[in-house]
Amino acid sequence: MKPLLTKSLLVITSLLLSSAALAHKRWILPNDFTLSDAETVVADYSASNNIFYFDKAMPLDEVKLIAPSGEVKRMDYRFMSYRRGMMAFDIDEQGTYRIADVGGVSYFLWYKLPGQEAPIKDRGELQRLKAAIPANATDVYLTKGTSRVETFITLGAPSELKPSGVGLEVDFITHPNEFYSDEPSELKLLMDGKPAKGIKIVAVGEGTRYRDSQAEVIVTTDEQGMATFNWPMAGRYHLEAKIDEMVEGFDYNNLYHGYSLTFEVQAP
Amino acid sequence: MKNILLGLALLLFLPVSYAAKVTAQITIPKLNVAEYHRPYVAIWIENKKRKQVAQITLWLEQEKWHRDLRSWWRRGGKSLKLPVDGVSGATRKPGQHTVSQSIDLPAGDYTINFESVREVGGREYIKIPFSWNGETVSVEKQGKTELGQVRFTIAQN
Repeated sequence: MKPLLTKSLLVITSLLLSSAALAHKRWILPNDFTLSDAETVVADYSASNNIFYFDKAMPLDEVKLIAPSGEVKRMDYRFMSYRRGMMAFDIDEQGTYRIADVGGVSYFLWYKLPGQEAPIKDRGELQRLKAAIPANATDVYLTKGTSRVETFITLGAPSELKPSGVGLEVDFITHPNEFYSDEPSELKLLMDGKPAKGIKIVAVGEGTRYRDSQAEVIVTTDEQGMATFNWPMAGRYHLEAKIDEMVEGFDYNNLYHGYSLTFEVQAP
Repeated sequence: MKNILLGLALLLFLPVSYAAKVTAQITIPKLNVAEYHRPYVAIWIENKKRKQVAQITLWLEQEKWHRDLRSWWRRGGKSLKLPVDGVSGATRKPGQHTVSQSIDLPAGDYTINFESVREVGGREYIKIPFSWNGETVSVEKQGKTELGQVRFTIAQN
């Protein structure tokens, strides 16, 4: 058992170290999104390219369960498994629970060296990374990153969801537990509380392993940060958006804000 | 004596086999996507029983994704010992690529198979029938998503 444990820890560490982890789709998937009775719900946290098949376990330390009242609830059960972090909790208040992993600020370094095909990647404290860049490095990206990975579960009627005003997030015009395949769903993308304009939002329905294309639904936000989705089918979806821009005048030269949402589109 | 006769009889019924030079041309399209990974590509020949009889090209990287070349995996890839000398290699950039192999192929009906799959991308599978009797045959088809034009030529070596 011991070698396996070591291996799983290695996997998790390498995931954290790799800026490619930013490119993997991260998702918190509960066994149910809408309930009519108080129930215990379990959710898995994983990162993968195939939706929704567990691949790389995601750490649970920062995952919060926020009740409709706004109170942060205790998770009854957390377990790091090799390919997923697992959680269990009671959904017993009427309204909407938010399960979110809102990472703090992280710094990533990515660069190339002459004659070397593979890029070099590192992660850690800003000043250390800055000092670690060799003089002959090319294509240097020193990235300041923030991210939010979340999902919502509603018992009974949905309750209002308020944006935090920090980072890249969604203000739901259509409640995330009221997405239906026979009507459009509207949302507003915010960056630090202000409309995030012209940002591509990419949604992918589950079951990518069993089809020949990703079948992405892509919508670009308008001047008000608004995006309207028409869902091709009912089912569970992953949605993500990112702001990835080069900046000047800071110790870093790249800003990355990621947002990931898991939800279901209900059949009419 | 009986055995010799039997052997002779079998020989007469066995299809003639020819030394063949096969050339496959494949275009990997340049795609404008947020996250691009080079495709895994397999090109192979199958007989009428859908058994793989010749591997022409295998461009692969991590073993984890080999099974995503679903048709290739299903029809024999899963039991193939890799790497195959002169056949398997690293993934390639978008553009036109030409590969050729020398094989022995009995006369008969076959298909040439092209499969391409991209991580966080799509998959395309093209199968074109051809008959081989020692005379030069050339077949081609236009891919739609993950493959551009594909062409296959078989001629006596």
